[in-house]
Amino acid sequence: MQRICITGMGVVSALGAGRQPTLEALRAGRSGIGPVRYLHTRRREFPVGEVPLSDAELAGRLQVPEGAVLSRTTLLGITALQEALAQAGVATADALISGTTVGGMEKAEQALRDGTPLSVPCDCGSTTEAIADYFGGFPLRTTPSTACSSAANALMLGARLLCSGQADIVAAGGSECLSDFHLQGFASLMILDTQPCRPFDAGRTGLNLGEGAAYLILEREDNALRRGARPLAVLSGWGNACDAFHQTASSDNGEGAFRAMQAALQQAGLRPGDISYVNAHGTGTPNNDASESAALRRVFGDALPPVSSTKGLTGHTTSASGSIETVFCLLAMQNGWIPGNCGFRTPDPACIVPTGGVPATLRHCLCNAFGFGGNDSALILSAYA
Amino acid sequence: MHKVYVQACARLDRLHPDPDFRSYLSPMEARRMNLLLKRTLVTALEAAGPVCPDGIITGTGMGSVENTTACLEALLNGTGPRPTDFMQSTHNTLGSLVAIRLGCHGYNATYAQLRHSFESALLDAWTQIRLGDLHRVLVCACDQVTPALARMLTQTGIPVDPDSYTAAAVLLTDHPDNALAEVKQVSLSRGTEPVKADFCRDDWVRLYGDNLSVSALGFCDAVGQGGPLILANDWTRICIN
Repeated sequence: MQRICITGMGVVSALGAGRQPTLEALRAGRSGIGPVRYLHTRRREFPVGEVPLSDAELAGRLQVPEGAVLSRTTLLGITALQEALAQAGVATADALISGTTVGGMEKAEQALRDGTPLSVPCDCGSTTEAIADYFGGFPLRTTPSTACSSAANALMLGARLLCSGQADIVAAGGSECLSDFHLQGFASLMILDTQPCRPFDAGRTGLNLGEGAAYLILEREDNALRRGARPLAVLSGWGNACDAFHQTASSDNGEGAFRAMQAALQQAGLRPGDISYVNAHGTGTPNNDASESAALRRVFGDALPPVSSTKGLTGHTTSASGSIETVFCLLAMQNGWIPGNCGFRTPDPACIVPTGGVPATLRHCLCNAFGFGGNDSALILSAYA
Repeated sequence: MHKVYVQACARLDRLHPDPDFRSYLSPMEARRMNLLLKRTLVTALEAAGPVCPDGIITGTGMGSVENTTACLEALLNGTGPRPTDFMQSTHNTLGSLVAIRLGCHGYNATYAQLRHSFESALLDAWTQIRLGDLHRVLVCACDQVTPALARMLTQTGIPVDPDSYTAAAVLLTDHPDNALAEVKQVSLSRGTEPVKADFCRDDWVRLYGDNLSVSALGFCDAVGQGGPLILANDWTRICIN
């Protein structure tokens, strides 16, 4: 089977807009989590990982025409996709597969607050359409919406469309902005921390919401080489499984996560011992981190590779987390180190002990993204050689 | 590449009235579910039959809208969303509910592409069966349009009929025994040459009203008719035989 190569990547998160500021913040372990700056909400007690640019600044950078109304999810998506397309050296692709869950919800909130008609469609699919329309092309457009695994699932569909020959080059990932809907919704589930989150720490009490977008340009190796593109890495494995346990809680033994990681390893033709680093979902909620740890122990036994969660730096970027953290894995592979697990101090017997901030040669990275509804996804990124 | 066959269809819409939900749901389950969840679950159980599928793929343009609306209203009046409304507002709550009920740990995905959500779900299922990654996939399509949602969509140039709850489920497999039809092609490609279609969106809207899952209902109708047929929903094309 043809390898699925990654020839471009673009990212925006609380760490900044673009690969370079992202890399610098990741290497320095500089968290982007802080008090609310831009989000319209009355719940100011929760720290968030906001992209450090206002809507107007994002629109200005993109030279969006005066008067055009774009949701923040769309603006973040365009910002990341522009960088990915530029790196791949293409203007558009056969498909845009862009995961999101709140879509343009913040525009609906605004219209309701102001008592004005909606200025722009707010549904998930419309943000994908708006991102694609900015560039033109992208005849195939679709929107996986599986909560926090959406972007990971977008990458899987992209890979499969390439494997089956339905597309030659695709852009896949996800975008999600902060919304009052999400902030207060997560608050109602009592899983937000009023302090910076502490994934895998014994004293963890919840997550911080983040926002952002990331896309990867995927193509079959023959297509990449034919047009003279330089593969950055290979998307070698992918797996998705359903925990089928509860709408928002994960099972104690991490059944769905275990199956997703197993499926990704099988797809990649790798053994657990081949994995050099795991970027965990690691949200910082008591339930997720314990369940994910149980699944990791089932997959790796006593030979656990280095594991870290980067959510202490970005917050939980929800639907975009799968592609944002895939970009983090690729940056880590290119620069030979393991990103740190910000916020961790005290080991929890129920959890794995994260490692991070250390140099390492990374050949195969496993990246986890788990969503509500027990929607568990795992991706494997391999060095191109 | 493997071939893809339709083994079963089930649907609830304005021409196909609700069954007695008590034969599918316990009283406690029924109390917790709104009408969209109930119809989604019942059509899924009918189409899936007794065997757990190895994939469940759902298309829904807006998810469980009444829960989303309740959350938005709670933001506006300052009370904050109720946990149940927030959980059920997430689009993949529908597909996840089906997985929990069927005890299905396999592949699970949801697509939200407004009027083309069913085609998105079908594309994923068709692709994975063709590749041999999955063998038995339940494709669900469900949408609810409330008067409030109809108003909001109409404001942004997307007319829909208010007050509809539509659910359809289709079981796809890679074996032809007892199949109702073969799915030859699924394409979501804008800008391609217009193809003469046997059935299109207008035909289905006349029958079922303008709701977001109307193409799934049209698919179920066409599967029962036999012969090669092309189904068109704007720029999407499904070819069955």
